[in-house]
Amino acid sequence: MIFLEATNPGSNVSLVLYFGTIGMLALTIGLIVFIIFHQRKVIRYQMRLQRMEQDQQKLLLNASIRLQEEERQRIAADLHDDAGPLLATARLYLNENLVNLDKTTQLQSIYNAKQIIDDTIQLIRNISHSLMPPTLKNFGLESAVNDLFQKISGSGSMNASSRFHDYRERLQAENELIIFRVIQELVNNILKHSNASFIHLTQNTSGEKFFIRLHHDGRGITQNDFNKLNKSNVGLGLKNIQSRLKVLHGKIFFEKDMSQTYYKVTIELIKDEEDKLSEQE
Amino acid sequence: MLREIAYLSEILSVVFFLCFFKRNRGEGLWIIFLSCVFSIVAELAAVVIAKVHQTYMFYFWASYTIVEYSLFALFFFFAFKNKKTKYIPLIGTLLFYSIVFITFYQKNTKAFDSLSASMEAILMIIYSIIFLYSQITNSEVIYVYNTKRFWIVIAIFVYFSSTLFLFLFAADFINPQSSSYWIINNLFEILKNTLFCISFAMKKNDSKQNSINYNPDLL
Repeated sequence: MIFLEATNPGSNVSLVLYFGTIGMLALTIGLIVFIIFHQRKVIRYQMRLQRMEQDQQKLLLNASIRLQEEERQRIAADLHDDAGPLLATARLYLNENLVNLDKTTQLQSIYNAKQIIDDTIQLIRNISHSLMPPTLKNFGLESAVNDLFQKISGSGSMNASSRFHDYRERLQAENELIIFRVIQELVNNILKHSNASFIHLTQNTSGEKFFIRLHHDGRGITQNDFNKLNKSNVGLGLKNIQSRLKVLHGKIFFEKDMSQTYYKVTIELIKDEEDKLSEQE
Repeated sequence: MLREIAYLSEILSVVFFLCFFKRNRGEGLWIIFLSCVFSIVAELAAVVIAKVHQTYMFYFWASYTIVEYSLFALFFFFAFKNKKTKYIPLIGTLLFYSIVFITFYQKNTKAFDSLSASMEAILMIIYSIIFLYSQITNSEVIYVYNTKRFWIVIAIFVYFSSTLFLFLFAADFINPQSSSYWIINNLFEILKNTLFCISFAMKKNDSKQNSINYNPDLL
């Protein structure tokens, strides 16, 4: 009956009504279907992002655990291979037979034992300094970095210099240590892989931002290389830098200088973030 | 026959709301329940009024449209979470009332108030589109079709977009209630009430389960 009415040539109203209704219905259903499919697409995209984020977190966590283990192994090796034999030798000098020996030999043995114990103290001090540099603890990041660069320059193999332009107020001690470790890791990488003849570090601030820039003239990496290495299973040191900076909500950029002669690494931190972190702690 | 099924579907949606009452607390579903009850009562009243005097029918259907619109607009007002979008049903309602009251006081010989019904349909379509847009842009809602409100809005959206043209021309029918065109209304009323039943029967959505957990270790 509906179709009879609709196909009647005189019934224009019917035609408009039926086609209008069908058109509106089609539009409505189309819109609903679009919303549902769009939602599914968004869900899939978000899940993929989440998985990528989790993978990245996993990589960083693994890198940090491996690094911790390596550090422990190094300390264990230092203690076992250096401190252990030294103390054992000192013990040999100070055995029970010492009382039966003549006075000169006794004095000689005590002197030798004292020498060995002094060496052991120095060794333990060195291990302790490698864990927490005393300059950093007592005098801050600027002094610790200057000290590190002076030592590198002193070796004669490379010209290393640093300059802090605006560091009147020290950062939190824990954050200074994190930044120092990042700088150490970067310098270590430059020494190991870049074949550079100089490293220059500058520090400055701009508004609420705190910058540390490292220039060197050796072989370096760009941001793309850094991202690739971060996603792969190699580049443990770089992952460690990334995870350390994540704690400070900091950023790191690797680039080639405008003149294409130098490589530049920029560490960017926000001072406010640093204050927030200290408040949370 | 279809009219009776449509009427039964209205009763069924009321029954579903009462049966799953615990699931339907909150989210403004009581407004939809009220509109269903009102619809059932109005259908019965229409039969009685038609027998008493045919000329009252215009005022009756105009009043029905006003109440139905008010209830649905109230539902959308509660459904919109954004403060700015909450103004849209308020502005729409002012516009609707001003147009409807003008036509209401004009002497009308027709049995159906086409203007107010069409206006209601257009406004409901607009509100539905705004609601659906806000749902897809809201990052907290991951599966829109897991929410009760989504099915209610879909029911309103489908019903009013399908009957818009019918309401536009309804005033020109000789006898609106007996016209064969009202099959469209009955068909989509059945669909609307079925979707209401689905919404009333589905389990209450837990927003925590719905949102993606970005920090699984923190849970």
